[in-house]
Amino acid sequence: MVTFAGFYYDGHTAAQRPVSVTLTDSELLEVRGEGLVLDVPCADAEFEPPIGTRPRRVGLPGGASLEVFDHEGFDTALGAAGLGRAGRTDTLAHALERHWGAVLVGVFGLVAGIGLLLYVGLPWAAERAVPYVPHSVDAQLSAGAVEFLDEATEPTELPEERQQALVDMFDGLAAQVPTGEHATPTLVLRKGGKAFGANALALPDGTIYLFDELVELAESDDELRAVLAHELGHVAHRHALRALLQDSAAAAVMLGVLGDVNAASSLLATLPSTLVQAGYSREFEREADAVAFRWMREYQVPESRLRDLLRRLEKQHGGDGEGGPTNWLSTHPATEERVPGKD
Amino acid sequence: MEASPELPPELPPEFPPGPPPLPPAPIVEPLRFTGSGAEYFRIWIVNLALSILTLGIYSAWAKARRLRWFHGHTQLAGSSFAYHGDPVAILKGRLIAAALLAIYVVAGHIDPMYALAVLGVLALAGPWLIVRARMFTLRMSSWRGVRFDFDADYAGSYREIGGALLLAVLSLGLAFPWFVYRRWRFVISRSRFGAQPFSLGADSGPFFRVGYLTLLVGMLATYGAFFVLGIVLAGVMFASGGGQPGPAFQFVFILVFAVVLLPLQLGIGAYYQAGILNSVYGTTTLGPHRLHCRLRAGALFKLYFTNTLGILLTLGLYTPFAQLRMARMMAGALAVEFDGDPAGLAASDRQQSGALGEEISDAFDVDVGL
Repeated sequence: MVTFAGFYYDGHTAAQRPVSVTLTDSELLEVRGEGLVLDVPCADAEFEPPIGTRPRRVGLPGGASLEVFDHEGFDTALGAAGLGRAGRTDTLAHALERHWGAVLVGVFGLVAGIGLLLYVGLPWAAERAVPYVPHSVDAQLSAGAVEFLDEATEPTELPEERQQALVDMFDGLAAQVPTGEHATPTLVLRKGGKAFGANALALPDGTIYLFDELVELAESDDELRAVLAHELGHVAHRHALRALLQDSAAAAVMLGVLGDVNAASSLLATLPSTLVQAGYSREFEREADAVAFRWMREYQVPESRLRDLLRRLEKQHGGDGEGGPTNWLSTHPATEERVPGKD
Repeated sequence: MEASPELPPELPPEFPPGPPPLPPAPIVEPLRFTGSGAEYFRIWIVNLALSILTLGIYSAWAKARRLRWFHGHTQLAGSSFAYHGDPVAILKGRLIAAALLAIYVVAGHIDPMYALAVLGVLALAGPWLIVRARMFTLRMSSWRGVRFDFDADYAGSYREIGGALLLAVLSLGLAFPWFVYRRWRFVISRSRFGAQPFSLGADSGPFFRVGYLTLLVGMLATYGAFFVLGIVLAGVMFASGGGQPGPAFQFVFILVFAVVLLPLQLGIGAYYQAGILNSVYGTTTLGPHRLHCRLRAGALFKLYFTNTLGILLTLGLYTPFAQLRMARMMAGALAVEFDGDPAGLAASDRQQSGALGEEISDAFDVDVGL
């Protein structure tokens, strides 16, 4: 028979009555206080599971309850009577919480798990999900991008014959680089202007934008074909769609992990998302590069063509190709990493 | 009693000597938070790990554990609070919320107009959602065995909150403090402890004052920051001879930008939050009893800032400590002034008749940030 101190609440008013509670050998809860004599069979009482060191509670019939701050006394009483049954989930959680070893394992496991999820799980899932996305989505995404690009850029200033030659060259290339049935490769020539400069873009439905500035920077048609093969690689692997799926999922995961805190979280949730998204982008660039290299090997175009063009591009933008400390923020891998090799 | 005092000869003997006894002075009971960071960190980690392992299903049980722990470690006048939320009801609400979010995201990618439509539907359901969210949270909480309550006044919600929101939109935001006031007044006046309703004493004045001051200071400070940073950027670009700044410089610039804007945003947020909460909780009454709230904007700002820094530097592991410090600050700012024995507060008829059980079974927790 163990006695512990607690407070009794009758469930009808907010009156607090100090009581002493005894757990008898016959599994009876004897509650004694000033003007209060209550005997409750343990079977009729609900012992709430422990969570950390919050006060213990016992639900009594009729809406009454006990609140116990005397943890030791309470646990001894329950232990002696062989009680203290709690839901299995609560017991597991409580056991894990009590041991710092389990907690530390949990911390490392968590960080590793989230990292794995973001950099392996989500990309894998996105790749598997993409074939199920209807082609109309590619068309709609591209339509939206085309509207924006038409406004942000100006008509091409290349001479007519050059334009035709480029289109013919592209059609020949498109026959050599398979892109799948969701896309119809089409070349669009525009002037990149302030917004884009020397650049090329691939839209999900197979529309490739090639800007005048890049055409002028290139020193041979082989260089242009290498870049366009890279862009067709983006289309073939459906990177735009995968990026969309991965980015949304990554944002959702970060929100789920950090979501519960108030003012700070919205600001912080976007930062990891940005880093993760930049990481995905670099992966896609590598995949597109792989398509370009495969094509170059098959059609005997030397790899130096792509390297030379990329180096020239880099120089124009004021970099040195090595990457440096801002590499993890940039959307493309460092040029040296993309096309390694000596001059 | 040794000897009865000598009565002045004029007073008849029935009258007691001396002035009449004063009524007992009201007792001010501060809220106390007794939870420790070390303990909660372990609970938080296990919650998170199990939630991820079960792909989110356990998160409902995790939420119940977390709230039980926070409630249990919050004490008023020697008794702790209790949370009775059923994890299954919480799970139902979360699944519904997740489905809505998925629809919103997918719709948004197909066509931004669809996303707008989904938001529109959610906005229309706003007042209804507010009532359900409050109902669940309050009815699942109790103190000294008496449950809190919330009147299911959906019509009132649309009338008072919806109407005020409409006014705010029509006035292009000028009437936004009015909307904030009406929302708080609705939520407070429909809330109950047992059978006794709460009441908001403040009028709309403090809301306008805090709202406009925040806006003014916020705008001035933000423009000031942009101005200064713009000058710095121009100066550097000029000094380096024009041309595109390299990626390293861009990165540093963004960093400095964030470092200046972050404290600004947190400071404005802290000032606003402290002002509003003090006006609301500081004037709330429960029958003869009343609440006190004394949040200090400076202290709140320091809390926001250190919490943000902590979470950032520890890749999120500081989150439980941040939550805990927030709870501790709120508890430290709140107190209840009891005029008489709280025993006079009775439970609602619903609770006394035991009808709560049936309601809980078809309730679902609306887990939206309202």
